[in-house]
Amino acid sequence: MGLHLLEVKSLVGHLIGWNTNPSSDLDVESRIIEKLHIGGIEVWISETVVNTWIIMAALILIALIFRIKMKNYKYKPEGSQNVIELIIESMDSFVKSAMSEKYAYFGNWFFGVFALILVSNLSGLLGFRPPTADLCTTAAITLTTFVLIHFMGIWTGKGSYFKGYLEPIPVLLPINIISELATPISLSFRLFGNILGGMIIMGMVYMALGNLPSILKIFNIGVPSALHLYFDVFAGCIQTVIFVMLSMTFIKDKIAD
Amino acid sequence: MEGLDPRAFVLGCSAIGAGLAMIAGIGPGIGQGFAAGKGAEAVGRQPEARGTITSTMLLGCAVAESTGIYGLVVAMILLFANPLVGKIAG
Amino acid sequence: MEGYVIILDQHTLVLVAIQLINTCVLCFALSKLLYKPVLNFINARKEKIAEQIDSAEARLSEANALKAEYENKLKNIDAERIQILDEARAQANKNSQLIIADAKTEANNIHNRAMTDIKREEEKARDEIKKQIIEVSAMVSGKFIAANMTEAEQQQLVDDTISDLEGVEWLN
Repeated sequence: MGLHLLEVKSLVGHLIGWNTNPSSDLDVESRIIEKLHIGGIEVWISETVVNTWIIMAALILIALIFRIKMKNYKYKPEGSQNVIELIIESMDSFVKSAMSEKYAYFGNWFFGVFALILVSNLSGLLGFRPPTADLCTTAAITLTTFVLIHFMGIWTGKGSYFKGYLEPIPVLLPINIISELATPISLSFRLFGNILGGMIIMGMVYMALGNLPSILKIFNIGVPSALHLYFDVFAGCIQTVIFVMLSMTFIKDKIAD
Repeated sequence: MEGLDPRAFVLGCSAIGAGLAMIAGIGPGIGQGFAAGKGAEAVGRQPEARGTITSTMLLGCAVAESTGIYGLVVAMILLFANPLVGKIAG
Repeated sequence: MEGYVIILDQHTLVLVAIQLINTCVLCFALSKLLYKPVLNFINARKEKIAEQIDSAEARLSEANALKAEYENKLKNIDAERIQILDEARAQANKNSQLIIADAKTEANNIHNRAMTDIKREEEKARDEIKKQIIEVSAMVSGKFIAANMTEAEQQQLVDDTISDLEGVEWLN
């Protein structure tokens, strides 16, 4: 596995706006680190996959630390307990407000999705290529949402689920099916397009800043950090919330009550 | 058309196509502007419902953004995964 | 090094499958490790707090009921006290009047007794004086008579006189 994974642009460098490693060309590709052949299928282990593993490892490590700390959690919260309780409770109330009290158990699933997307989007700050800037990641996450939408629809609605495709008139069946298929596509493309767009713009800005004449290098201070703040922090957080909220709304719309 | 590398021609046209695809960004821009303006109006009329208005507006903006994102994805495909280059004979 | 931004071929499917597995593993792990335990912890605490609030409310209402009861009692005590005082005053009045009446009758009795005593003493004194007068007169008359008569005649005379006197009422 390539060492370049460790060529992590320093967080401090990004935050104060120093472009530590100006590149001359646009670097938005997800590089293929390893090509495995498993049973005749070529499996690419790309930067996306490796970054996802790093994020997963970090998240599971944090979860384990909190889990171990939870053993001496008290009735009266203090310290780190407040933080984790705030996070979990706001997720719980988010699910309850978007779906309903009855389907609060979806929080178990969407907490993981939320954490994965949020940390992926913010990992651009640390110099990683965000895994969500790859259509494969967003398609995979959206596929689970798609399965959940239709599973819940069939499970709760039974016959009325299939009847829904023939409404308002049976002639609209193909259009209904297309609109059902458009849901996951728009969901995955939205997240992917936002993060990749931000990444491309950041890449172009870095390219431009790297080619500045030395007298204008002063622009290297502050400009990238402001753009990172918008594209990585603001857009990343908003897109995470929107992705999870839309997923939950779509699932709730299909649930026949 | 002699002396013109078909690959270069396809790539150049693809770049123009990508640029044209990004015109799709106008629609969501106007739509989101409308949404934000109406949101501001609503907050001005009912400042106590600020949270609900903001989240509803963000959700609407996100849905309105879809078309723009489709345009962006088409542009990306033309630039980075051009399906037309493979169609060149020879 | 090779790379891709968007690919739409069989590699995409493999990558999607890998990412699908990754997402499922992460969601499962986070749910098992963090979300469920912490949520259970929070819910257990919520229930405990609700329980405590319920019991506190029950106790408060109990205390309020007790307070109302005691206040009622206190008000009643005031009335009772006034009644008791009134009763005691009336009783005392009655008693004092009785005592005064008793004392008056007693005083009357004493007075009467004293008067009878005085009367008796007077009578006694009168008797005494009578006796003495009799004695003196007897003595004087004896001396007079001694010069004129015998002892027997004298005695006869005195007895007659006394028997005469017994019939006569003394003046005062």
